[in-house]
Amino acid sequence: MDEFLLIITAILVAIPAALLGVILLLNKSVMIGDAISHAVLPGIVIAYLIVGTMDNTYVLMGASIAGFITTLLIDFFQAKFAIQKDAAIGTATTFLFSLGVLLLALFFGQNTELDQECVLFGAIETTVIEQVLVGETIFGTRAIFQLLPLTIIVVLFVFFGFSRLKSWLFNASYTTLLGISITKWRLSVLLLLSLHAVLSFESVGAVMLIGLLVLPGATALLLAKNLKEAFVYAVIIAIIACVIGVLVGFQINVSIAPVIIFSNSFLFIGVFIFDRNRKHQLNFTKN
Amino acid sequence: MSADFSIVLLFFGVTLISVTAGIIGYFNLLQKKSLIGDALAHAVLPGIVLAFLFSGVRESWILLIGAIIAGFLALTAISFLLKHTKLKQDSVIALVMITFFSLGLTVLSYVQLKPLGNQAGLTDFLFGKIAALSQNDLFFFSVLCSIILSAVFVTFKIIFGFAFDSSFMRFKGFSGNTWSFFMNVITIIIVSIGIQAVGVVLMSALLILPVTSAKQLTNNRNKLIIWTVCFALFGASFGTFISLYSSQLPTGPLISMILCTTLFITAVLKRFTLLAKNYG
Repeated sequence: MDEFLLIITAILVAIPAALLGVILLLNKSVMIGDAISHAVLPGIVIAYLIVGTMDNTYVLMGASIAGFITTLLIDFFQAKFAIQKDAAIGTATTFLFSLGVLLLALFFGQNTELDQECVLFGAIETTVIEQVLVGETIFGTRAIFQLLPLTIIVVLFVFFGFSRLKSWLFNASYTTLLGISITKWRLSVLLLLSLHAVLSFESVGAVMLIGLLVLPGATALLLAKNLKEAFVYAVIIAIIACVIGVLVGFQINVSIAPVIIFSNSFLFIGVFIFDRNRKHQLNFTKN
Repeated sequence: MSADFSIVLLFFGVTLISVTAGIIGYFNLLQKKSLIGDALAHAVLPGIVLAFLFSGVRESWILLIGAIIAGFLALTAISFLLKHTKLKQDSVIALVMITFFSLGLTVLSYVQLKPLGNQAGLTDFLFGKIAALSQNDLFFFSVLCSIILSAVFVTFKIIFGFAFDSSFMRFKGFSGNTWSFFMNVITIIIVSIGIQAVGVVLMSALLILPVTSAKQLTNNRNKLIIWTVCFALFGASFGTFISLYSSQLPTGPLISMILCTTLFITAVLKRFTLLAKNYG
């Protein structure tokens, strides 16, 4: 039963990550995703210091804002400090992440809800403890009920915004010409991303999230012939990797989050080796 | 007496590592490859952990060899995937980085279950703990850093030329492959050393931040190097000083925080001087 709950939790983390990851991959902003996932750490720590518990809407909002500020910070560094893009991303990431780790070391001892291990690995194993019971039957865990709305929102976002997303990802300047505001779409993707980074912090940690973002999407882009297929394949691959990861992690008794990421990589390598159509991969993007 | 000596050695070693990393970061910045350093810092983790698992001892040179092998595999994988897929460069870098890093963390959580894992303090590699470095380690690292620094000093004109305009240097008759290999070796070595001082996650701070702050002040090549060295020296020594006196604070985030603060100060200074120039 524990395995089953863990698999559901992992899948609910992985599906939105895979969908948003495809967008990031085609938009050449993978590293911004990495920066956001690092940057929610100070947000979570500060919000936790103010509010005092982890499961709180304010913590969620504060930390998402921190993730969102990162993107503004990167833009600010580039525009005002005249730092080139890669260095600006690196600066924002290291600044916010070291702020988070320092606050963690200053205000928390070794054994709290937030510890340094949790930042790296996440603690998906502990999510099964808080179960939601209806009568005698287990209905799910708290993590599942936190992640489910986000997953639904992201799926609906991609489903209903598909044509707009497609034109944006293919050719941004043409989309602007059509009168569609790119900024709005970009900011909403980044907002969803920072919400996701906060909600999945407990399960995969701040450092590993980039794996869930980039790996299923990259595998899907090797296989897919158009954007719709890319989204569908990314979700399927993410689900397969979660099932493998949780089962293998349980079997050899190690932290589960790294194993999920590594099984994603394993799938990527497998697809890369056995994919016969490699020469015919499409380049989706013009920009 | 011996305590004093070890503290002096600690300061000396850490600042030397920081200065070397700052100078390597300068070349990386010129080639717009700042994130490669970050990727390498993550990617050498499985090398370190596997080297420990197979040798069973925490000797810095054994771990260093493992790290260098892993770093090379990562760089090869990046260039191979760039050649054979249509994925973008940043996606490939992120992909290879997280693959290696997750492998490293998996093995690490396996090692920690074993009885010898706890004494090894391998988790110190993740956030860095200067107190965990022994005198032998520091001595070894200082020698390596001096070798790297003198190599960079001797070949400075050539590697600067490659960083500035590689096609021109190839036209002049220098082999592009040889020199990029040389730069890769140096970067991998300094990253593998640096993560033992400041940790995996914040190694990129040592590479990126000193030169970025220096770039706020000047664009002249030689002045840039001098300022980079100054900032690296300041960040490392000040960070080490604080982390020695309050042992609960991890060294890596401290150094990176200090370097970030210097960056902000220099950037604000630059804005003010620009304003004064324009309106004054």
